Amino acid sequence: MLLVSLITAGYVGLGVRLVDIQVLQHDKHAAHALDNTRRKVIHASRRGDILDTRGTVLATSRIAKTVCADPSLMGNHQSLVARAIAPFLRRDAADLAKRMQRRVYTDAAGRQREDKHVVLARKVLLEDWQGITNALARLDFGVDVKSLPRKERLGYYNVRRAVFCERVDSQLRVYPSGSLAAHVTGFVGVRDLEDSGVPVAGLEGKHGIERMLDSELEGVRGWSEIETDRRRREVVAFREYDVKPRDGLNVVLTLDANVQYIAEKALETLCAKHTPASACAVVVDPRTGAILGLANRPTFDPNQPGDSTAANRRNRVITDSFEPGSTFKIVAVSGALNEHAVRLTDRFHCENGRYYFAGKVLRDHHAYGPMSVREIITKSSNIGTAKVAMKLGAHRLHNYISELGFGQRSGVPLPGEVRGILHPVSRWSKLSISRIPMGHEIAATPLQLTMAMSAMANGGNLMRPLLVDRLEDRDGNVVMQYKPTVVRKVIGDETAQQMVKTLMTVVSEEGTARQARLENYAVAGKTGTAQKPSKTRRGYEAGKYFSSFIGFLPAEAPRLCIGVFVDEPNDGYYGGVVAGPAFKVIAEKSANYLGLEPSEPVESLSERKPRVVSR
Amino acid sequence: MPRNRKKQESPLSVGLWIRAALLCLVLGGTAMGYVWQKSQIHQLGTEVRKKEVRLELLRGDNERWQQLRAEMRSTQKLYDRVRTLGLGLAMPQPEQVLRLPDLPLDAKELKQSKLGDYRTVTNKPRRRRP
Repeated sequence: MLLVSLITAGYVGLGVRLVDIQVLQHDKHAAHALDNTRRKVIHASRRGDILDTRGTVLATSRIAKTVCADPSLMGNHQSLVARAIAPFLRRDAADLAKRMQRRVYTDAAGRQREDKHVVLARKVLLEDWQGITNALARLDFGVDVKSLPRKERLGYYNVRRAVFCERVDSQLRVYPSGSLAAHVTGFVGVRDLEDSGVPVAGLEGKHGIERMLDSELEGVRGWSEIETDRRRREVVAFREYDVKPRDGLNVVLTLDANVQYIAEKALETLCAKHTPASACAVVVDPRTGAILGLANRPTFDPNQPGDSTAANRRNRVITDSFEPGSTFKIVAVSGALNEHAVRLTDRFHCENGRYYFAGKVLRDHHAYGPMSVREIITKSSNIGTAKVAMKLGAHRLHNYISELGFGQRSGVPLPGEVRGILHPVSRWSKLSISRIPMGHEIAATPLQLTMAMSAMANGGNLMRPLLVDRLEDRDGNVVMQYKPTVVRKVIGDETAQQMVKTLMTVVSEEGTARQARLENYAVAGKTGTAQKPSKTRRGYEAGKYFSSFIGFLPAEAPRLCIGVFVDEPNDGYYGGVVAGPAFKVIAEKSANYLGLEPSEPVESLSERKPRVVSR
Repeated sequence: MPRNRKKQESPLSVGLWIRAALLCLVLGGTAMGYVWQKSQIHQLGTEVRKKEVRLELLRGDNERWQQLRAEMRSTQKLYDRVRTLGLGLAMPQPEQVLRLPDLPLDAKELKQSKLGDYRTVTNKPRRRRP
């Protein structure tokens, strides 16, 4: 009877406990069970590539792992494990062993906890991770593990499990061409996010196209909800949701890697000769506004952006504005010609190099007498240009300056573009009408100047700079095509033709840029040599110049417009002398590379005496 | 009339036995089938996982090769290699480029041209020596 009572009581007790667990504490235990088996896995999307117009890869991505360790599973085998994995992580074994030592920290609740998640290395490539897993599987402890008792055996197995990778893959951004077009491609940084409680180390564009088209390049992450077994292996049958990631779009630039290389090499030579503070060059197709090359010196390696200074990473083509000097004379003269205020044959007296205006003296670098408008451009006379601008008038001059895009952003998809400086006419002084036409009292970016010159070359249309040609998916399907855009027509066709003919004289024997003349192509262009304004006092800095040359070719049907800009050159400072030769190199090599038709028929090789063309 | 006890029929007739056996068979078969298909699902799941891991590795390999190709095709590396190997390669000069006019079919120049102005060279088979 007693036995029956005990058994009954036992069953009642079990029943009560069952009800307690299954009904009263159901939520708590269900959540605990789910927490033990359910996992949310985030699948990183692959960041899109950046390509040049011919498909050369400028930036690409590789899946990488974040390698971690749980020191609590290691026992005293830290040194052994560190020696095995150090070659794959390219780290010092002693340093790794030190990182894998057991340590305790205090959590938010004030409890002592053991650190079971130590990050050993980020961005470890897949093949290196495979190497690590193989090395761990082959670890030799110096004992026959299989013959040991179960508990000891498990200890050794745990050592192999102690190094693991994070569940969410990260990516390694690679720039195969190194510093080539670094200021255009930009670089990326790591962005630590949390997606439904899962930490995600994503990439974030920090500079250049990487930053401006970050959302297009990034893609969309995928995710899945899985269940795991006792050994934390996924039970695929219980996979509830499985949303695949959508890879980022590839960005195809208008840039041509070869033209870019030519421009960068020319700048390198220029920098070696003139040791300037900085130099930059832009190569544009004036018909479309497509940027074929955009080079800066100093530069940086986007694979190691942390090794460079902020000054090296600055894209001076759009972030720095300068007083442009004589290259700006094209604005006043083209405006005056377009308004029929002057003709190319009209003559102005250049006051033998000294012109008193509004109580100040305006000087020319040579004492010129009467000159035609064409000669004023050829010789780059400040006094002559000022007189032409006076014929045009302040309001109309201001109108042409802003119509040619000065004082406003060009809209190129790169970060940090500045507007430059263009004061309204109401803030002009009496002197302004004589100073602005020669490129003083105004600041413009190299890109603005090059686009303005392109407008002269293409019949008077100001084009929006085109840097991104199209966006493609991974299979090469075009998702978005960017088309050339005419911002506005600034000058008429006839005026543009007159300007081209006038600018062609600049590279003649009488002009200021003989060094920029090419053998097979007719070149038109304009030099600029501007003293730099002082940062500490009014007036200009002695011996500090901003030299430039902007030209286009073939002059009769322009395909390339090239601007070379040099800040504070040494060993010469005239635009024609400093920037002219670099322009010549870029123009000649780019024209040959692109197969541009020479301006005049050239005798073929068979008609020539044999000679070494190049070596 | 009361039945003969000795000749009374058993309540578990053969038909009933057969039906019971069939029922057991069906139940057993269903259970076996259930277990078998569960095992299949598990097996397929394991295979799916293996294939996914393999796919990930292949994707990784693909990316590695793509990067290698991109590095080998990078402009800077190509120029450096040309310089290192002393190949003497350079951009073609305008006089090295032969330009052929792309004339429309009704162009005057084409109509005036005679047969033989443009020569076509074909490879003739060599004569065998006797």
